[in-house]
Order: sequence, then structure tokens, then C-alpha cells
Amino acid sequence: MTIEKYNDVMARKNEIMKKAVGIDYDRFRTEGIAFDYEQMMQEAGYSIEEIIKIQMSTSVGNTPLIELKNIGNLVRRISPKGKGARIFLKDEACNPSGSFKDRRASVSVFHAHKHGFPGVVAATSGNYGAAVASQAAKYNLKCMILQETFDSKGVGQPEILEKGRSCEALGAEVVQMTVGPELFYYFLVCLEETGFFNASLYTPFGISGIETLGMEIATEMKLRENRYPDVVLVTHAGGGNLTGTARGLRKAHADGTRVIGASVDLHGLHMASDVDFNRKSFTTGHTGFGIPFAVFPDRSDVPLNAARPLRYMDDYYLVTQGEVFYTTEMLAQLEGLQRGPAGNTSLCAAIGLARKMEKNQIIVVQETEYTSAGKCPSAQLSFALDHGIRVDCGDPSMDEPGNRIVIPERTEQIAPKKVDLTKLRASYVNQMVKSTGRVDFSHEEIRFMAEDIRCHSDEIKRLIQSIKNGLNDQ
Amino acid sequence: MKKNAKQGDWVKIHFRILEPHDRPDHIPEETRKTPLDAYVNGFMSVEEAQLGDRVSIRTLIDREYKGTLVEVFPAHTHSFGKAIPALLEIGPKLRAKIREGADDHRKVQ
Repeated sequence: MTIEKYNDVMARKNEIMKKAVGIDYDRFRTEGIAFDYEQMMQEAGYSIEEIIKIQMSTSVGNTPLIELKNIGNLVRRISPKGKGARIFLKDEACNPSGSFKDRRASVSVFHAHKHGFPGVVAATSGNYGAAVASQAAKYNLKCMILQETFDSKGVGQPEILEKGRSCEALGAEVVQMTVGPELFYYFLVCLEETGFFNASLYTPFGISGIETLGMEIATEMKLRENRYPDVVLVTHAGGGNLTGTARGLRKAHADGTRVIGASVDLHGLHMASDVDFNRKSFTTGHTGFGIPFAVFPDRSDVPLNAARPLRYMDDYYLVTQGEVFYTTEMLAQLEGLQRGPAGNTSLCAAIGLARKMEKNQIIVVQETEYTSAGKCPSAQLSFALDHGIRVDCGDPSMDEPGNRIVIPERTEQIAPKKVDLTKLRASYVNQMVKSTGRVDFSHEEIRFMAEDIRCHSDEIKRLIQSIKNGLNDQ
Repeated sequence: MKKNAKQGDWVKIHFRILEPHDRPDHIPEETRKTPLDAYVNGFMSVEEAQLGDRVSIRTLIDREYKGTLVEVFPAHTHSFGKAIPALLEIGPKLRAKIREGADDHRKVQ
């Protein structure tokens, strides 16, 4: 295999991506940065009926919705009188490869098979790799997974080593790389060489695959409790989870259900740093993806990202690494459910939020993930200790990503931090200015942005003006 | 650790994707000073080799790679880790709290 120079390949990225995804994204563009998102989701996605059929054929979805009665009772006991919402859990670990990512992969791989691609490639260090490998096995398609696994000394993140093992066990070729965003460059090289389908996380079919998750939550809750949930908590990283779930809830008429994102707070750690790489205990569901993808979704591998979290996010909370590890132990020992830590990010946030909600309200935690060697609290904390990270018990607000993990001593200490969405919206507009290199936008572009981040056009105009003022002051 | 491999053995190879000077400017300096390396497992195509030799392999999806032989019958090194004191008491304490709550409830009745 010839390795071409980085810039030559990157210059061909649009052409490579077009062949590998099979979508002409330009069809949906309307003016400048504006595009018709709903048209893209309808035309390039699959209908919910088609998705249900696709997922049934590969045993994806229809996962249990479990009321966490012991955790709920405990939460009520430590809450003010009349507070302590009921907590339900959608056990997505029951999917074939152990996470909700099977929903995304099922549609992507079906699409690849339908269009005669000989194989699928995904660039992911997360559960999505195993999901794609599992679905590819069902369709007898070749599968290649690219992961960012090691630091420059060859030390692998235990969570990612486990995911590599899982993909290989499912018959995929797994290429494990050292840290660096040039994984995308090598991904392009592989796509060009193999002619495989890019099973991207961010295509319309991938995102529409998650809509069934939202629909199942709404439908089953209506059946069992004769109402829709008050809140659905979604772990937020790249934005697909939240986007798909919210769209599914709306399609099931759960219009009043608030969709709240939750991420592990890894502030201060640079995602492309060789030094920081092995100083974190969570490789997914964290702010290293959550914030960049919220404020600039089109940073994805595809030109127009179908995952657009600010379009749907009602609120966004951050939890600490220590709080999520504590929650994982709680789930195992109070509810008899051993599940992976990253998949408990939103459960952790739910426990904190439930204490402020009324006791007759309902929160649904939208996912769980499987647990195994490398992806369980003892494995991840042992790794942290081996890398000089301090691990102790106490006030979780003393958590310092990269230096110290503090496991709460009491459930009352779990205190999710609310993110100011107005600041994220301002960053979004700032990113639009940066990426286009201009501060003047048309009426259509302003309308698009307002829709994309759920605010009024006047707010967009005000944000643009303050950026202009800032530039004039320089 | 096994140092020799023969044709058909399951092995791990290393290959370099980018030298440090080929890496783009926008990545952190500490990352830029290091090469971009990759590792992949497959069945060895050459008859015989030792660790450190340049070999070719065929992967699980029958694609060919060339690289340096770094491990023969590569083992999984991730585990469930050690016992972590900070985690061990969480479950027992919470269960005691629930039992205490259930007892209080019974007393009230």
C-alpha cells in the first residue's frame, strides 16, 4: 500500500466521501451555509416504517424499559419532601453488539448492502465499531474499523482495547493507530483503496436509525403509564444520539418531553494531545466531543452533518468522571444491572436532576452499554492510577480531569452542572464566521442558523453584530 | 513471548503512516513530535520470520498489509483491573441505607 502525502489526499476528500457515502450533499444546499435539513433527512434517510423493518430483521431494538425502583426510592429519601422523580432506564446494552449504536449501524450497513458495496469502513474508537462489525457479519459484508487506540509509547486505552477486541471477534479488520486527528486522512486512504462504504456516524440514515429509540420510549411509556416522559436524558458526544432520539420522540407525538443532554466533563484535556490521551478515564460521551460537535456540527467526516444537537437540546448538563463511576456501582448493586460506565453518563445526570423534580414526574435514561474487561470502573480506575492520576473519595466537585478523580461518598453529592446554552449558541455563530471567513450573512442563512440552534433570527443578528463590534475594536 | 512465526500464524505488525515532519501544523506540539503509527493483526504470508522482521500478512477480510512483526499470537492485555478501595464500599453502604429505609417504613406501619 502506498502512503500518499497528507495534503494530496485531504484535497480529494469531498470526491472520496461522495463515492463512499453515495449522497450528493449539494442537492440540499439552499444558499451559502444554509441547507434544507428536513429534506435531507427525508430523502437521504429512511422512513420510520422502513427502519423498524430493517432493525427487526437484524434483531436490533425493542429493548427493555426498566423502572429503577431501588434507585428511585433512594433518590426520594434523600430529596426534599414531594421531590424525587421516577427513573426508567432503556437497556440498550441488550442490542446485538451491546449498545444503542446498533440502531445506527443497522441502517448504514443495510444501505451499503442494498447498494452493492463489498464492505463497510468506520472510523471509531467507540461502540459504533462493534455495531458496524456485528451488522456487517449479518449481511456477510467485509468490515474495517479504524481506531485511535495508543499514545506514542504504544500504551492503549483499556476501553478502546476492549472495543478493538470486540470488533475483531466479530470478524472485522481492525487498524489501531496512535493519537492524532489524521485518523481521518488515513480513513480517506482506506476508503479510496477499498471502495468500501463509509458507515459514517453522521449520515441521515445513521441518525434516522436512532429515531426508533425515541419512538419506543414514547410508545411504551404511554402504554404503561398513560403518559409521555417529562424528561429523556441522552448522553451527548457527537450529537447523533440526541438528534435521533429527539426526532423519534417527536414522531411519536411526545412533544412535551424535554430532551436533555449529558456529558462527562473533561475540561482542560486536549483531545489531540499525546500527553493528555491516556489521562482521561472516558473515551466517549464527554465534552471533548460534546461541545465541539454542538457548536460546529459540520466538522464531521461528511459535508453536512445529520446530527445537529442544538436543534433539539432543551438543556445540557455535565457530570464528573467520579460521579459516573459511583453511578455504575449503584446500578450494579442496587438494581442488579452490570453496565459499562460511559453508558451511565445520563443515568448519573438523571439521579441529580430527579432530586429537583416532582415525585410523580418521570425521567427516562435513554441508554446503557455492555460492560467487560477494559470498560468497567475497576479497569478504568486501575489504568488511571497506573498513570499517576489521584483517585480518592470525597466531594466530586474537586474532580480535576487529567489529575484527580473523586468518587462521591454519598449519592447527595452527585450534582450535575448546567451548561449555559446561550454561550454555546454564541460559539456556534462564531464558528460560522470563522469557517466562512465572513461576517455578512443572507436572510436565508440567518433563518437557517436560527432554526439550527433554536433561537430567533434577531438573536442571530445580534450575535453577528457583537462579533463585528469585536473585530472593529481590534 | 514467542519470537518466531511461521506462515499462517496470527501476528501483529506495525507500520508507519506519517513521519513527524509530515504531520499537519494544527495539532498540538507534543503530538506533532511523534510519528503516526498503526498496528494491525493478520495471518502471516511469509514462510518464516522473527520479531523485528518486515513481513506481509492477510487480515480477517483478506486484505494484505506489510509491516514489522511485533507480536506472535498477540494477547489481549486489558483486564478488569485491580480492586479499587474507593469503589468497594459504595454498594454495601447504599444497600444498608435502603434496608434502613425499609425498616423505618415498617416501624411507621
